[in-house]
Amino acid sequence: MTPVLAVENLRKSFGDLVAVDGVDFEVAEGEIFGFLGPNGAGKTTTISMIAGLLRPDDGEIRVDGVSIADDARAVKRKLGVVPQDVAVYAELSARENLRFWGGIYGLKGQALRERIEELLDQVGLSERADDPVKQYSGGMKRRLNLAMGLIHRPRLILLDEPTVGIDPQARKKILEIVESITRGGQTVLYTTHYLEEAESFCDRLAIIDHGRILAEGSIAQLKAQLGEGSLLTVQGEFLEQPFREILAGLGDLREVEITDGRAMLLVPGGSRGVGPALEGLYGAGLHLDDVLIKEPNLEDLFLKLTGRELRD
Amino acid sequence: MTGRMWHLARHDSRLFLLRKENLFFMLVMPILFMLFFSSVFRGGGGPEDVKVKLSVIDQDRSFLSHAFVRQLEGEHFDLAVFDAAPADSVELLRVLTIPASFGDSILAGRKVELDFTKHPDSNLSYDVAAEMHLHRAQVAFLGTLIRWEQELSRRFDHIDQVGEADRARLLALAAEPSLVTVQDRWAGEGRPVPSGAGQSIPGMLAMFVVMTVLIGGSESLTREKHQGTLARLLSTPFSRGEVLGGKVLHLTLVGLVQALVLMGAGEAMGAFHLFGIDFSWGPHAPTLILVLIPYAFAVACLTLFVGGLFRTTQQAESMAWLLGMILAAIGGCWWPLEAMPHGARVLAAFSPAYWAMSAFHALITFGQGPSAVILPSLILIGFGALFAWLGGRTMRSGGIG
Repeated sequence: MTPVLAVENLRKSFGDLVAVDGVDFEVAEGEIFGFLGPNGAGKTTTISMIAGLLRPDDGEIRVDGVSIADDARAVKRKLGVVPQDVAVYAELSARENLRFWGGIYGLKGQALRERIEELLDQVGLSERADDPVKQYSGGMKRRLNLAMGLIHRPRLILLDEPTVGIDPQARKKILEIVESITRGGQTVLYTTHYLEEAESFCDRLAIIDHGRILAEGSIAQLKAQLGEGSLLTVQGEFLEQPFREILAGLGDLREVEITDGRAMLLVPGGSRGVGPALEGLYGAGLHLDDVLIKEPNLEDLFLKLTGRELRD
Repeated sequence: MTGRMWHLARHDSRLFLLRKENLFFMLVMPILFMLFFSSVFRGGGGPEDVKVKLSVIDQDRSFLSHAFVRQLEGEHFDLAVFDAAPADSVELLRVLTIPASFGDSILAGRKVELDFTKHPDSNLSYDVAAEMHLHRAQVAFLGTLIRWEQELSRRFDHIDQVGEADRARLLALAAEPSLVTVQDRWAGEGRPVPSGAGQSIPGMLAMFVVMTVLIGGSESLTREKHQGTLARLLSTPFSRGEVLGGKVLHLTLVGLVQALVLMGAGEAMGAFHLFGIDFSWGPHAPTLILVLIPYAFAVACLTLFVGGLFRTTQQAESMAWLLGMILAAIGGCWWPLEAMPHGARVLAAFSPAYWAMSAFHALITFGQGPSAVILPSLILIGFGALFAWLGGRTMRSGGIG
């Protein structure tokens, strides 16, 4: 079955800076595919190329089997782009904004009016629909920004960090709307650097950093890359190299990340293995100031893959 | 494609009209400027008011040459009379040389030739006006000579034979109104150089088309870049050409509306003689549209170029003000093109306003027909194409498309 979106060997540089470096992935119909990575990882550049805003240096993008290089207009007709920064006309009302963008996609008359009302209701802007957008709060503008990308019922929705830079309450509202969209069975490419959003919405994820996909798969598949067990993080007065030597003598404990004064270890057998592991560390003469035990998540995988945290 | 561009142009025009400062700039400020400048310079500006510089080298220095000089003084010359060529005579704008044989040749009935030379940088329209004035002085002088000869008691063969009384009589006759006069007129308003309202009203129109489109347009383009709506438009099925074409169509319409508003205002000022303003666009007013469309198009494309160069609205607006003023000044919106020195006119050719003003003057002042606007219109279309290409490139380098 032809994927809704297929990206092959995508590359883009800006001078000496390689922003996207050979990215490949596919998104199947009805799938929510997450693009998880820190700021500057290449997420927005990738989305911009898919949206036709940037021309790739190399590689191919196909939507429903049609290459954007061959028929950009046909591809763009199927896309609903929700940019990271709010891109609306502040002088116009929400209804006028939606009417204008709907007109661009050929919607008119009763069909357009009905669709506008439906979306205003969905994003909770019906009561303020005729007020100028410049009078809206940040969260309301974000909701309108989202609605504008959905006006023509796109085949593929590109959501570029839709919750970035807003307060928790507004974020919650946006996430509810996104959830309602995803429940409708639409195909979505969702970029974020918020781990919990990626884990709660996405069927599959790609972890991207420095323009490359480091890992790809379902949440379970990705977590499995860390291995089964609990994560034990210890902090104390130790150096990296001596700690490794001690670790080598402690059997099944696996290194996730070790630096001077801090180590993250995977303990096989879950929480039951933590006690013996700590006994081993103390027994080796280490002085530990802080101990943290938790279940591994994607943040830990990202740390393992890149050596840095997602929000660095 | 046209429908998509029209959809964008209509939307942009609506946004333009929602901004009160744009309406003020389009409807109030230019009309106030037009009123002010037209009333300050409301003098008719016809041939009677125009003094054309002329240097006369009178090598003859006889009473006959003096009588001829007096006849020239009766015309609208700003005269400087020399007995011999001054050291800097090559710098003089217009020089009429009366040969040493002038008086004797006239008395002997022999042909005599006056030499009229013009400096390469002299104003062509003033040169033509000088020739007309000279022609009128010649005709008047011949009439004076005929009257003088009739009053003489005898015929003279040599200038020394003429007594003081006869000499004084010739000079007196030269000062009297001529029996034969030549009414020289330009087709149209009869102005060798546009002046008064004939200069300031078309000048203000050409200037405010540039100012309104360039300032309002470059501000809105940079604002759209900044707020992300331009990029969002480019992610829709509309092609890059359609999006930028829609912007140019909107800006061209703004320029045209501005021009039509000022045409109407200028005609009304003339019709009601507001502040003594005497003005009409004349019988070729409908032909003006043939110039206004390419002019508005050229300015719209220039705006696309300027809008693409800058990231912030403040930068774009500042540059638009500066550029608009420069283009208006060198383009002849503030003073007549015909009064500008040769070097300035070469520079002026790089301003779209120059070509618009040339066409306006050809139609309004010089009474020329529609054919006079073909070349300016083609050049303005060329300007538009060049700026559109540059605008496309600056928009791309600005990360748009």
